[in-house]
Amino acid sequence: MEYISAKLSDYEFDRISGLVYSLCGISLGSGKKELVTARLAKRLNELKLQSYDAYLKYLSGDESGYELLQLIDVITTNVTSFFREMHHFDYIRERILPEYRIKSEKIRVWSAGCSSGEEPYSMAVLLFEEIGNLMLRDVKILATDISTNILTKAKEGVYDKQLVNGVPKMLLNKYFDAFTDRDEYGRTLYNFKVKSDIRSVVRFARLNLMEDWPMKGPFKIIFCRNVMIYFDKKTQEKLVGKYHALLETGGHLFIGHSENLSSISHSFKYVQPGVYLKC
Amino acid sequence: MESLKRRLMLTGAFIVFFPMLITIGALYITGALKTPVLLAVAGGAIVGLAAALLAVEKIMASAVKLNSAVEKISKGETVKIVGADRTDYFYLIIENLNQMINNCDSFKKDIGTVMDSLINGDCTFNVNLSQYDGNYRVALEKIIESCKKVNEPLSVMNGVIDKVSKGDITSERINVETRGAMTSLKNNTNSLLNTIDNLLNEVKVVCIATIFEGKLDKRANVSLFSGRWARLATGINDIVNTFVKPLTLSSDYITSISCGNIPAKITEEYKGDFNILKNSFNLCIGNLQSMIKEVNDLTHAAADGNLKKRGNADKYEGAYREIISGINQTLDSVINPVSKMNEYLVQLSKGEIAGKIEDDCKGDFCELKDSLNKLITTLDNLLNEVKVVCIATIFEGHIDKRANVSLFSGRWAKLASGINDLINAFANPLKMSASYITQIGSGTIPPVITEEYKGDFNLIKNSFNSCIGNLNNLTVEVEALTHAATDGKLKVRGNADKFEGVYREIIVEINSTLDAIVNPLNVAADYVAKISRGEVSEKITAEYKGDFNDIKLNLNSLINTVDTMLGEIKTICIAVIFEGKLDKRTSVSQFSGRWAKLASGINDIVNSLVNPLKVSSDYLLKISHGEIPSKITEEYKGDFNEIKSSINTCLDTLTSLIITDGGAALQAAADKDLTARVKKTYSGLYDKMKENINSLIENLEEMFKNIGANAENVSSSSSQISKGAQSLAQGASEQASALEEVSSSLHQMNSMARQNAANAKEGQNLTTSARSSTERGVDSMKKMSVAINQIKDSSNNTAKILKTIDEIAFQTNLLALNAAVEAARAGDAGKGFAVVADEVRNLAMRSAEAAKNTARMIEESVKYANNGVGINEEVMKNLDEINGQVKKVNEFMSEISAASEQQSEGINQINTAVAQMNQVTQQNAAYSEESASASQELTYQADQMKNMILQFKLSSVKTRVMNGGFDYNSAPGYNRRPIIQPIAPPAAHAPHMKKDFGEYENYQASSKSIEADPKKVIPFEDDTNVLHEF
Repeated sequence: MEYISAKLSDYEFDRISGLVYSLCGISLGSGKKELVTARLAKRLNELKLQSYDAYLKYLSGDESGYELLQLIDVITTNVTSFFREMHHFDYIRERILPEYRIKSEKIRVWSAGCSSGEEPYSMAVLLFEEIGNLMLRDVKILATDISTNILTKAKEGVYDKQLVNGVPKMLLNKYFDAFTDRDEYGRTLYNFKVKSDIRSVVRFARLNLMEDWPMKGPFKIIFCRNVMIYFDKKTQEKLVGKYHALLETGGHLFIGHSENLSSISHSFKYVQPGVYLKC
Repeated sequence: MESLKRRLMLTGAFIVFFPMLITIGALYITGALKTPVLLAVAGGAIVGLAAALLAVEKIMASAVKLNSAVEKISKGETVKIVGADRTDYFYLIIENLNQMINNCDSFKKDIGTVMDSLINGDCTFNVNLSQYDGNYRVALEKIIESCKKVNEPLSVMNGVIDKVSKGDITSERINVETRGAMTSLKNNTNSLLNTIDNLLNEVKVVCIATIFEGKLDKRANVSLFSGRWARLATGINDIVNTFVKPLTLSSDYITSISCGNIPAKITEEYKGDFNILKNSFNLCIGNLQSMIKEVNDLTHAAADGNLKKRGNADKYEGAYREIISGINQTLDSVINPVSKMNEYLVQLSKGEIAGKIEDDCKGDFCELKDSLNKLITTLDNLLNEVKVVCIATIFEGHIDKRANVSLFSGRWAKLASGINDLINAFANPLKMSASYITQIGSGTIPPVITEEYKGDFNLIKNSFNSCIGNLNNLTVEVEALTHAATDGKLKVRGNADKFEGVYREIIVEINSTLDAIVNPLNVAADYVAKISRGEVSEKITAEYKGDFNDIKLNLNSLINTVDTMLGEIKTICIAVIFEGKLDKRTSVSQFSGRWAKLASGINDIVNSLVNPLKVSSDYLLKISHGEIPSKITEEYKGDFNEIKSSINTCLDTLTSLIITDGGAALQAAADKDLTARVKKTYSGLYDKMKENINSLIENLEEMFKNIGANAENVSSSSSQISKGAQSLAQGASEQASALEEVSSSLHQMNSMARQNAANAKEGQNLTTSARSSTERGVDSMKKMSVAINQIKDSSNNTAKILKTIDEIAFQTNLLALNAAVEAARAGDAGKGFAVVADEVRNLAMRSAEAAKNTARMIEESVKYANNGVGINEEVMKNLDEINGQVKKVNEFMSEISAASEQQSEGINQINTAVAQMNQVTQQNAAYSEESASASQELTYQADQMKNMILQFKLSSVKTRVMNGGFDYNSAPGYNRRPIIQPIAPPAAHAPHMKKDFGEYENYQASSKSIEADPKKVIPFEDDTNVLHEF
């Protein structure tokens, strides 16, 4: 087995970043060349290709489109954790959910850019905790991501013990099944699988945010956290407008702590950092 | 008949031609007709005959058509002949006939038009004569001419009669040349016109006489008319007569009534309407008499001042009742306004020109009111003028002053100019008198007037002269008295005897006056002195007579007045000072003359006090309402001026603080200019306010400066952070890339180590099998050694056999020699036997040779076998050595295998660590991306803040222009998306992409564009279903 240490030329980088931008709106600056090189190396190795030029040829020859998905999968950054940015969940618990403990109104939540599923599962756990058994209620969480690999992982709902560090022990016991497994070298892995009740309210689907959205809405809550930072302003503005259209009046949009809608034009009302309200 | 003809002709033609044809045919067939010429002649004849027949038929058809047309024309029908074409034989005839029919038709129409015009009285005869020729034209012209002849006088007459019917009977008569019956018509019409004209004239004369001139005796002159016209004139006279008589009577009666004489009732007999008129008159007379009585009563009552008396309307009926109740109402409505008007008039009559009448009035009273008001105005003006003139003439002595006539109109103007004339008439003698009186007044008794005057002025002159004389004397006397009085001789009296008449009386009067004065004078002086000292003493109770009583009364009334005045002043003082009722004034009307002036003076004083107070109060109220009124410009004096200037100063201060200075500073601050300050000097609280405003603006400015500076710092810091985060992100990316390589290398190493372990194991196995192989080799060697010895043994045995063979060969040779000898002995019979013997001897020889060789070879074999045994032993020794070494290799191999496995395990552990590192690096990359984004937002917002601050004008901040917002491209460390320029937008770029990828198209036959539809690319059916659930 030989390791491929092909060099990515500027031309090839431009081709790939242009392709990625046109496919999913992710904007790869010249500072991302190393990242792209490193991430695409996996593909080259897997395909036993000697150069990026050959990879591009392979890509253009792949009619199934599978390799495009793989390209998107390796390029997208999937970093998330359970109850990431806890203050958002606090806000939902304190300001949004109380009235739905009594009201049996339907609840629709969308986690746009759900990555490996921690965000929608966190939301489902919160809903179970706050309004009881969701089986008796019309509650659904839509979780979408562009990466099929990460969606497969998310659907499994299996997380390493390190990954569930953010989940309070009580909730971990209540909503996760612990089990052990062995890795390819036969080592023991301590894993946690999300319980089926939780998994049943979360519906996963692949969605490229740049394409048409088949959803009709309206959603009560939309998460799109640390997703839009990979897009340029123009794309961000378009997305925020579409989120606004899909939210019900009084619905909330949650964006990442590093994001801000102040430099784009939108119709939301600012509530607190990362929290926006559709009036 | 037509068809019959045709048929007959056809039959004829057939009868003629058929036998001919038959004959010709027969001739031809029989050969009789041999010559073609003859045949041609015969054919031509047949054809010609046929043509002639056809022509005849056509001519007949045309003739029939023509015939029927002529027949119709003869019956007066104007039907056009149709179907004539040039082929007709009578074409020209038909054409002419058609033309004739057209002309007749047109002529008929025109005659009709002329007749219609004539019937309708229209003589324009709109006919085009030029379309006719010859007799047609002549006939039509004649008709039109005769028509015109008839029409001309008729239209003239018509015009005249039309005028008459419209009442315009002029002297114009019909004056047209006529003939015959027309002339008589004309004359009759004219005579009718004359008669009408005369009649009208008569009627007019009568009308003018009766209606306009009142000459009821005028009648129409019947003799001027005859026949019925005379009767008409008489009739008119009768009508006039019928009206005139009762009218004269009525007139007399009405005249009497209008003169106030109610005549006796009419007793004469009249008929019809005139009787009714008579009865009406009588009734009217009765009612009038009764009414006059009623009205008389009312008048008497009114004259007696009994304005409440009203007529008894119930006595009357109809209009009279209405009249009486009307009078009553009139009285009602008159008396009220009249009494009001009366008041005014009374005032006016007293010369008090009151204010205008404000009361509401109706109708004529309104007019009356307006008139009165106008009158008042006029009177006012007039009085003013008179006053002006009076003042000028009387008080100022300007005798030249005249009323301004142009101010008045009508009679008032006349009055004014009358006044002027009057003044003029007086002015001259007056001037003269004035100069005399002036002289007299100045103590100079002027000389006797010698100028001539007329009338009264002469009398004046004489009077003056006599006056001058008397005065001269009187002066002397009075001088004497004056001297006495001056000397305190109050008892000296004038000598009246020196004078006569009035002058004597004067002196007497002077004397008695002096007498009468001196005593009461003392009393009065005493009182006046008291009053002047403020001692309002008791009223004088002593009895005086005449003027002194008046003086006493006046003094008493003076005392009274002073009392009242004091009371009034006290009241005002209390009201104004203690009760603050600034509107309280003295009632001037209580006083008269100078007292009134005093009272109004007091009022004026109060006013002059109150007005500034009120103005001040108004200003303060306005200021309290946030309004800064303009300065007081009215003139005040003394303390009021101080109040005025205080208020004005206050206004200045307020204006300055609120509007121009302080207000401007605040406005500037509101308009984002924080450099403005309140500059002027103020005192007291205003100064405090100024300081507060200034410190507010300063604090704001300071704060904004700080915010600006902080924003700058934040912007620069966040730029740094952004830069750092960017490089961190890049570093993380590179790290991730390096880790990826390490991870990959580790994978490779791991697999190599595993390979090594496997190879070592394989080697160990191989060495084990090698050892057993060598051991088997040693065994084989031993077996080989035995085999070699056995070969050696068998070789030795073979050598023995070979000796035997050699011995046999020797013996055989000997035998062969023996045989040869024997053969030779046998001669020829032995000759063959000799050959065999020779051969046997050769074979023996070769056998011996072979045996010798074999023996030598066996000897060699034995030698080799002995060698082999030695080698074998050596090999066995070597094999033993190999066996020992393989054992050692085997041991090494097992050691290598174990080590490689350990190595692989180690690499695995490293790999896990690297994977974890990779995850951390990924997180770092994501987090640094996020922090880069956040710090960019921070920079953007800081710049926004800076821009906001820059909108404020601050005193010491460099104005750096930020061109609106954050420039992502120029932001330090920001290289988010330069690739958008070459690559994006995707849509626009797509062709470029395709072209770029086109170069790869040969790579794979079925290669398509990489820009495949993402939806096609990702055919996850269930994904779409899930999305549709939401």
